[in-house]
Amino acid sequence: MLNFSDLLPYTDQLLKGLWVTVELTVYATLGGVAIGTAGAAGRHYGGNLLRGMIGMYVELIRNTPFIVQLFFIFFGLPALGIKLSAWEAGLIAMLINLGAYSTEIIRAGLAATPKGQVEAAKVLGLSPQQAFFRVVLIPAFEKIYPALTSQCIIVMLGSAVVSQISVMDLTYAANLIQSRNFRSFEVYLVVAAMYLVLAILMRQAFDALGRYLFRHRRSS
Amino acid sequence: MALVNIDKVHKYYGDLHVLKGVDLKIQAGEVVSIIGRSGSGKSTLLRCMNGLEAYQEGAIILDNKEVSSDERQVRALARSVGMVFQSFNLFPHLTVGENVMLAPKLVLKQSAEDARKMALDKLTKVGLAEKFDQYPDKLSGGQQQRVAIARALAMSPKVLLCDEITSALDPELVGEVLKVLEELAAEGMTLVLVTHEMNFARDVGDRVVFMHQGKVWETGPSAEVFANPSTPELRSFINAVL
Repeated sequence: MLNFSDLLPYTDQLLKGLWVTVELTVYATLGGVAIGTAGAAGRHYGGNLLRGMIGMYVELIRNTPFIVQLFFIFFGLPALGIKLSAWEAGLIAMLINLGAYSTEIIRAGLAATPKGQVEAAKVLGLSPQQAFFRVVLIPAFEKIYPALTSQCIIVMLGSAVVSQISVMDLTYAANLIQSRNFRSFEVYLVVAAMYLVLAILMRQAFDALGRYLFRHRRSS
Repeated sequence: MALVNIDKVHKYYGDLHVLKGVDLKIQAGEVVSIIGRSGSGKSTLLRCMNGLEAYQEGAIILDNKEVSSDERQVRALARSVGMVFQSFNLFPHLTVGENVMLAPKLVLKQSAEDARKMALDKLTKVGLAEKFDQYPDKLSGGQQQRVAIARALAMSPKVLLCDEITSALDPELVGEVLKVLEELAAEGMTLVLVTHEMNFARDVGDRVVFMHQGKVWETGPSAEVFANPSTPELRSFINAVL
């Protein structure tokens, strides 16, 4: 017999875990997209050396498993004297991971910006930085916004892996609860639903932000 | 000294020799039309005049400043020379007003209020003040190009470069853009136009520069050049386009 009421005593743990997941996701999304923007700018405008280094970073992260990256940061780096809490290691792994994927996504947006708009900014006297932030960036984001949204949601869902280094996130809470009350079916069903709701809310938040950033589109 | 001094300018794209020693002087207040077949180097010359393209030999002095493609130099030149492009190049995420106000605010450090006044003034001049809060994609091509002209004028340039600015327009929209240019010419604005509008070049322009094979092949007062071309190349060009 299914029994969801056995979960009630653990509501607190679930909510705490949910909060950790939300917190990690917010920081990772903001930081990861910032890293991606900087990386894309470096790869698009930078010199050969910078472009090569960013390219290596992107390929290294995109071609290795997230859980290995996470274990390397948490279990491997202490060998170099870098000791991080589980929460810090989890966040850094997410930042580095989203940073690499979003570099590649945002770069595609930059590449799709018409050259004429950059020239127009230049002959109006804008500095390269002004041209980038005021002229290029928003239309570039507009073009890749759906892909970027999906990638951020993937990272949120992927954050479940940080429970493996004992970050007390939503999945960690689920594992703990089912080990106590043996209600695996119920626990994982509820937690899966919570992730689903998180993903839907996240997409709605992105859509709302997009409607604001790309408000010129509504006019047409 | 002339407003624009172009002295023996050579430009190469790799092995391709595009400008082969161009000499040209443009006085303040002149309206100069650069005509010629495609590939004759007329757009390249125009783009060398504000540093968008680098040239390898010779010198261009504009408003007493040496033109080079150095990033800083191009920015310094933005106060002297404006440019309007064939493809408008308005910023799609900014309203018409924001397009015009962007550079005065960021580059000339105008206050929001001053920039707004300037933008309204320039948009009124091109007849589009009522589009201030619209986004560019709601406008026709002719309207977009007029906004681009207003945007360039908001920097108070001494010379306005126009690179085939009516070539991307539907025929029925060409007139409204040419009318704006005509008004600017009447106010004494220095205009340098790369154009295929021969009637405009003849009737509004003071001077025509015919480019051929990377050189200024023939130049003179507009009416005279069209009536009595002295080189066979210009004669055949005029016969082909008129």
